[in-house]
Amino acid sequence: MKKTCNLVTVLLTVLMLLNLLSGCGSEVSPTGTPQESLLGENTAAIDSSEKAALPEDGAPVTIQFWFQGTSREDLDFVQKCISSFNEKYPNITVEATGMSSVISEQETKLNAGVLSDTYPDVIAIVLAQVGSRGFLGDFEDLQPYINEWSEKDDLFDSAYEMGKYQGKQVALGLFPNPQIYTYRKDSFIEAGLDPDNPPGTWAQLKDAAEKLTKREGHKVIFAGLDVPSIDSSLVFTEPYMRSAGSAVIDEINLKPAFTDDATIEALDFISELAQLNISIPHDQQKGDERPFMNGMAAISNLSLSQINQFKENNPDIELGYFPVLSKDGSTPGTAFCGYQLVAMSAASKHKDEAWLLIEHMLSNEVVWDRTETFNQPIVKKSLEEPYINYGDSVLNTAVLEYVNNGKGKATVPWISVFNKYVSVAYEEVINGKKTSEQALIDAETALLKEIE
Amino acid sequence: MKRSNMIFSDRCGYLFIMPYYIFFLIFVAFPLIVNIILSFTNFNLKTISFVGFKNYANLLTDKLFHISIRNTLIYVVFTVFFSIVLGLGLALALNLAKSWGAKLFRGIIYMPYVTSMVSMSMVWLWLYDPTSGAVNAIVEALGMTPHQWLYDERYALGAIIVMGIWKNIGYYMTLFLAGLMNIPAYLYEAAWVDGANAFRRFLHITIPMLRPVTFFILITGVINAFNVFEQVNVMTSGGPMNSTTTIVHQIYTRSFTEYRMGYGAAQAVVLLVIILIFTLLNFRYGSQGQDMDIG
Repeated sequence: MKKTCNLVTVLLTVLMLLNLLSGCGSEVSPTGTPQESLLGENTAAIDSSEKAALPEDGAPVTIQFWFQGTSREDLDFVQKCISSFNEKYPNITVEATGMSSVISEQETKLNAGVLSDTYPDVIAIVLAQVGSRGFLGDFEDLQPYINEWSEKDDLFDSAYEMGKYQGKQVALGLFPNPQIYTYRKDSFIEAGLDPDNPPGTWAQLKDAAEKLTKREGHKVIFAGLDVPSIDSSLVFTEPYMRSAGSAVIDEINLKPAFTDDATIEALDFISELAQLNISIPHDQQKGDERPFMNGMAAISNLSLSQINQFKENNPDIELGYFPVLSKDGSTPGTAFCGYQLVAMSAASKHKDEAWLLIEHMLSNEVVWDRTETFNQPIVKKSLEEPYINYGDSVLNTAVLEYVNNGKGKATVPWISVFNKYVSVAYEEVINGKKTSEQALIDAETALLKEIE
Repeated sequence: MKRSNMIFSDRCGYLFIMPYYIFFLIFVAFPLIVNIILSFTNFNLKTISFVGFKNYANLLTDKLFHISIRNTLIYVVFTVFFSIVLGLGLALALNLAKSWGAKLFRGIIYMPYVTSMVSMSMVWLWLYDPTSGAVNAIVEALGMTPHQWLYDERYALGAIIVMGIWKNIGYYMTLFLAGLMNIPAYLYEAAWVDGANAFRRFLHITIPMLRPVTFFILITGVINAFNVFEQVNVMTSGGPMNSTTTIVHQIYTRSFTEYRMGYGAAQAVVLLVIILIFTLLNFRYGSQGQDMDIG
């Protein structure tokens, strides 16, 4: 009886241990923690006229690709891209995962990828990550591959420049991503403003925004201009700093340069805008919450995808686009123009295959497809003329102006710390807690302490 | 024979508790030890080297960390206090009500506790919206001034606290209800016979008899409140102007967006020490094991 009891006890314990271990362990999913996950499908035979270089042994290979965006359009586009890639390389399976557009969430995902050894082979990144992730050594040097690339001379110079970190070519530009000051022509007409003559200077913007605002008592029910209450990536703020003449960050000496008079002047102007009570509180990073996107503002600075989304949801509303805002008309202004780039993981076990995917994404076929789908600007010199003549020529003209006069985030390793302190300075100034000078000095002091 | 029986039953017991302790060692003790070791390094996902107490020294001058400690303490005190008071109040009210409506109401109040904090944070984001949110609509209907709840540094932390109280109140109410139902009715009858009014019965019978439950709620409530993170990250990202950043939010920011995992680990150790002190104080003064002689 005692022996039976013993045996039962031991068996029960072993069973519980096995359950525990099976609960802990799990099949390693090649897709990590995807929000949505696509499997590239092997298609039919390669068209002999388009036969391209295959991996030497032709063995089936699976590579991971993380792309920006989680909308239906993004997923469909990537699916199409992968399908056309598989027509050339049927033995390479691409597993694609979308990433949130919020930079901090992307960083978390990438860090989790590093720690769990599930970092993707190919990754679409934003400009700020060239510095922050480049510093960590996440990316492979693409120069050896570029040297053998037949289309290397067709790529925009800026697409190369934006992807360099400390002289190393760690990424290539997929498309520029300008933030364009967009306005509703119907609101302009209603407010008695000329819908075909938008503001071109800060003073003109301020006047227009005041006239466009509608209030019920003190409460703004229709904003003249989207002035964000929170601007954690400084996408709204930096163009004003640069247009005023500030370098913001000295990228050559890797030092902050935002306590100059130009930055102070820029923040003072934004503070004036905020005090006019012409906006509805929102977070710049949360695009869907933007009052303009919800039909509650007349002017906003939007990305191309946001403009397209607004036009799709509001086909009856005609939009106009500001020229790049100048401070006072005496010097050209500077817009915010980020870049989306593509990079290869330094830890990738399939670098040759990863390069083939990058090459494919930068082919004229895919670049033009992206333009047709999202109206995004091209990065190939041979496509310039078709782009200017394609679709909404007014918007395309504005896009090229913003790209030519645009500057993105600095590629320094401490860009996230810079964002953290300067965005707090921005909030302190627009809420009247500190003067622009004091807020910027405090931010610089804190930033320098951390950099050191 | 007796000794072999004892050994046998001891071994049985150890075998049965072994799975839990293996789980505890792997998922609690081991990560804790690794975290403490990491706190003495400058690990940044790629490189690691020993830096001694440098991280802890930096914490002493890190203003942002001090702000997060202050915010967290405010959150803990107000959330736990009001959750207990309101939970007890609801429990007392529901204990008296015997209809089916009371049971339904009990279930509805408990529901927020079992919902995902992230989902509820999204809902409260909408509720607090300055233009179209329900909170401002109610405030205006009552003739008061609406506010930019999550965009105003004076109100943002309070808004998060209200949300925290709302989420926990059902759970505390349930625990207090269970405690109330365990109080023998004859104690109240005897007190009533002796002329004690409702308030005195509450003060001298209900509160002392609920002490073990209150102690448990206090310990678990304080520990959970110190770990506040999801609603802060979703609703305010620590802003505006760092008015809602908490210790765990700082740990997350330092570790996962600034790649200073060693520094984040040091902050986590500080959090551990703070919670440990609170817990020990509670055990020392919380009179957990006090038995009432009701014989």
